[in-house]
Amino acid sequence: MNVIEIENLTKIFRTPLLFKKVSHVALDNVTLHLEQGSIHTILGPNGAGKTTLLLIMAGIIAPTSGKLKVNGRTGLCTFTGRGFWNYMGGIENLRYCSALFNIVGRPAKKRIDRLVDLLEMRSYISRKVSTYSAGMKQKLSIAQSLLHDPDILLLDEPIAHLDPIASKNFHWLLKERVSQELKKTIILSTHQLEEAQELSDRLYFLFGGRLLWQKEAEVFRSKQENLLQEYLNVVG
Amino acid sequence: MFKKFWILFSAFAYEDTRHPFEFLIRYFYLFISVLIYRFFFDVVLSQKNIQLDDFSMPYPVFLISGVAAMHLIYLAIKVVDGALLSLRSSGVIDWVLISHSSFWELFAAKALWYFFLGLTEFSAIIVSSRLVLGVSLRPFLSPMLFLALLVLFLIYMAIGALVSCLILVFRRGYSLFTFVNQLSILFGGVFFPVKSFPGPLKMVAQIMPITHGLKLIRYLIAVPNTGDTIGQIVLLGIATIFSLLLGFVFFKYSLAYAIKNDLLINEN
Repeated sequence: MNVIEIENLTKIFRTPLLFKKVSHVALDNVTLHLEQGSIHTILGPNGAGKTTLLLIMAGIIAPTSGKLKVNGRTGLCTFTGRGFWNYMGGIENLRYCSALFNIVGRPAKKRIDRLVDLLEMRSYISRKVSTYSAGMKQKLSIAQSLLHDPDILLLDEPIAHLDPIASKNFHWLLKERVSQELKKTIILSTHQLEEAQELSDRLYFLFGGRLLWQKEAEVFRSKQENLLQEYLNVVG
Repeated sequence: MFKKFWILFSAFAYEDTRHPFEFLIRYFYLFISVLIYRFFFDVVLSQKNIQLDDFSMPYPVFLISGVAAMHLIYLAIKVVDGALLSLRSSGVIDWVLISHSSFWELFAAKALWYFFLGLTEFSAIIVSSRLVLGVSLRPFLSPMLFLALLVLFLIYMAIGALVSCLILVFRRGYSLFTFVNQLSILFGGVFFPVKSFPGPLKMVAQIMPITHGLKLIRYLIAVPNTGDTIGQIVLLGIATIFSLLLGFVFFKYSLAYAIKNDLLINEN
């Protein structure tokens, strides 16, 4: 079963500049079918349209044309420090976010406690978010996105700010806890090839807003094909 | 429902009160401004009585009631835009969109917080004027006065929502908030009675809600425990409902337009 079906999706941003509008095609006729329960990774260099695609899947921005069908609830982690009240504690942020999803009182407390333990955030969850490290913020962002028990988790550049150990832990967290234990479909965007190859079930390559190819990650893990070479063939 | 509203309200309240020192400065500033008015009275007007339509009041009371209401309407104008601004700058707007949470609930939470904040500022000015100018507190304690302040707050909240529509759709017009606020202060009879204005300015004053709101507030202060203001409050209430409906309809379409055209989030 497909959790997300995208047909001929195009997104054009129009920015006003004096008396005219400058257009920028962020996504150009993208068609994608994403299967349930897998880890899907969207690859591409900066400006390829990865974040735009995730924001459209999350329902934060609307496509200019094309069809989008999302079968299930989505949760989004942007990892850019967005989506938090920095002056509040982590726990208050989670409480606020769950209230937006109409989860309050005892059910909210239960769910927040479970996520805090699952993501091992207990020692700092009461501190103000402005004092958090990048890694702590990433975990908080994941906890926020799991509060309403979404079927699909969208992650934008999840290990961009993590050191190698934190990054390895994060891989384990995503694969073992979120994907296998919580049975979520994960869609992540990155330009880090090694991470993509290790973590994913299926890879998608975006360049200049176009989807150039999609392949099983196993092809690259078993060294039948070289991901770096594929990347350089297009970008280099 | 109540728990959710309380959490949304607390987040906005916490945003303004996170630095208690800054919060104290807010009231200290109000005290200082009343002190400055004191010098103004001593030099120019002393305790002279101001004759309004069918009642009179000492100038300090006239001025203080106007200044206190002015602070309340400034907050009212900023309710919708202030809520949007804090959601957009923090990126929490993403969660509002993903959760399909109602923007109206958020605006209501912000409105309740700002009304409460406005009332505390109103009270701070009145208490300061008691300390500095010797103005009596008793007339300000009327429940009818509270009702009049609420009505004035809601009308200006609706005006703020209409200004926010322009900002949301065209991404221009932030100075309109200042313009509306300054216009109300200058021509709404905050510092001087409207009847002392030249003819054309009197007409400008008559179309502004603050003129009628202030007239009612001052009447309630000058003639406390009166029952003959119900009619005026009802009339202002009708104007409030009309303004709120207008603000609601315009803002609803502006919001839909902004979401469709990616104007709501900071991207692009």
